Parts: sequence; structure tokens; C-alpha cells
Amino acid sequence: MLEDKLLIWKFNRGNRDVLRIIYEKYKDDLVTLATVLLTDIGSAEDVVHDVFVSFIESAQKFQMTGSLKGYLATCVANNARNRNKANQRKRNVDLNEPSHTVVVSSNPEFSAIFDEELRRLSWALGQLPYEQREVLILHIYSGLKFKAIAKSQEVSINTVQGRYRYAIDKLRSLLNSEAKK
Amino acid sequence: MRPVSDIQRLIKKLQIKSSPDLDRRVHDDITRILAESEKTSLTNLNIHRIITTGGVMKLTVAAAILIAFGIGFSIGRWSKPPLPAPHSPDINDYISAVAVHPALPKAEDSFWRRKALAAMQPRPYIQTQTTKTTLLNAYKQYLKEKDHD
Repeated sequence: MLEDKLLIWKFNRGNRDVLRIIYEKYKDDLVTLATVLLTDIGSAEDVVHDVFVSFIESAQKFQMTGSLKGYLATCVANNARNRNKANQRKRNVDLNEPSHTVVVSSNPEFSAIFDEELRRLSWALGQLPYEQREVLILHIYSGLKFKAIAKSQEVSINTVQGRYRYAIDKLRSLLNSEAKK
Repeated sequence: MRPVSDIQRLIKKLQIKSSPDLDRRVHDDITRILAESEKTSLTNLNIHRIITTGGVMKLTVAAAILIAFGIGFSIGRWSKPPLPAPHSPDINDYISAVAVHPALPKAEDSFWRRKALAAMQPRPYIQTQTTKTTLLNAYKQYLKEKDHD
């Protein structure tokens, strides 16, 4: 946390080399977040790249306060949400293509990364609706508070908490049913 | 049934390494954007240097400063209104007499001084004013002349 404050201080003082340090520090977390949200590593890397480019370009225009990790995670989530919506529209327009839910475990590239337990988790995460998955991953993995997630998604805090509860319940049942098999 | 804490622990364990391709792309972009921003700041510095070293610019800035100073001096709060000039030697005598009087205030812009000056001002309307007696006498004279005619 102190390191983050130092990075923000240097950033606000105009030290642009700190951008490389920020990228190196958070790249893996952001790629993981985007991959869980989009269930596709290629798209996830594109999202992280876009977020960092926008971040660097706008670096001279704003003063940063608050959590650096939270800010970047929110940016990635917003970008991933936009990309997900665009993909859905594309799928809806193309009627010949069979409708399918992109499941994390269906992606061999993704599943090969994790061990058995995490692979089951990734499969279960892929079964969740996008909104619930987003709330779950932002709250648990990125450490964002419900209030911040609600503001980011432009919904009420009760909706966010409800999505979180539904996501946890569904995830537990999915993991249990998978464990019984 | 898995506890929630177990699920949270599992989720926190998720970690995907970024590919070298992504690293290269982002670092290239950082280098490019930083170089562009430095170039822009250098251009701005050059423009500033041209402005400050140009002869015409210098003269314009100096003239603007002088004009602003003149305006400020003329309408500034520190400037005092000019004192009313005395109209006759009698007033001067009176003023000097007032000034030496120990009981009167010595301030130049005091109330009593202004009062005295106002009283000494010529009042031309007094000469042109006609009183009731003058009017009555004039009317009587008119009637007499009329009867005589």
C-alpha cells in the first residue's frame, strides 16, 4: 500500500517512468481479471493493452488519488464489459452461428494453465452470468468494495450484493456437483 | 458443501502470466507516448523562448506593463482628489486665520474647513432672486402709472 502511495506520488509529480513499474506490478493481476471476465486470453490481453495505453495517454491530464489497483481493475472491468457487449451484439446479428455460452473450461488454452482444482473453479466461473462473475471477481480477486462496484456498474449496492450472493451460491453448488462426479 | 472462505481462497489463487508479446506491445507504447509527450513539451519550450527573446514581443509586453501601471496609478485607491482652489484673496485670509486658530481641527480636509469654503463660495442666484416687497412695489408703481395715463 505504501509502495502504491509512493508510485502515485511520483506519478503525480510528473515522473512518467513510473508507468513501467506500475505495469510490471499489476500486469498479471489485470490479465487474470480480464481472462476470467472474458474467458479468452487473447481478448483479455487486448483489454489490458488498451487500458494501459489509455492510462498512459491520459496520465498528464489527471491527478490520481485512492487505490491504484482498484482504479486499474475498474478500468479493465469496464473495458471487458464493453467488449463483452460488443461480442454479444455480434453473436445476435449472426443468426447462422449457433448460440453458445463461452465457458472458461471449454478453452483448452485457459484450462491448461491451472491445476485440477483451479480448473474446476474456472469451469464453474464460466457457468456464471457475466454480471455475477464480474461482481464476484472484482470483490474477491481485486478487493473492490461493493460500493465501488455499484458505482462502476451504475446499479444500486443492493443489486451488487444480491449478484454476489447468487454467484457464491451457484459457484458452491457447481463445485459440489462437480466434486461428486 | 464448500465454505465461502474456501471459494475465496481458490479465487485469490488464480494467476495468469502475461505473455511476452503483451509486455513488448505495452512497453513499446509507453516508450512511444513518452517520446511524443517530451517532444510536445520541447516544442512548447521553444515557443516560450521565441516569445521571450523576440524584440517586438518584449516591447509589447513592456508597453502593456506601463499602460497597466498608468491606469492603476490614475484610478488607484491611493490617489487623493484635488483640493478645491480658493476663489478670492479673502478666502485665503480666512483659511489662514482658521488654520492658526488653536480650537479648530488642523486637518486639511476637515469638516469645518469644507464648511467654511462652501460658505465662501459665490452664490449668483442670490442677486437674481426677487423678494415679495420688490414685487409689491413694482405692482404699485404699475398701478400708479396706469391711473396717471
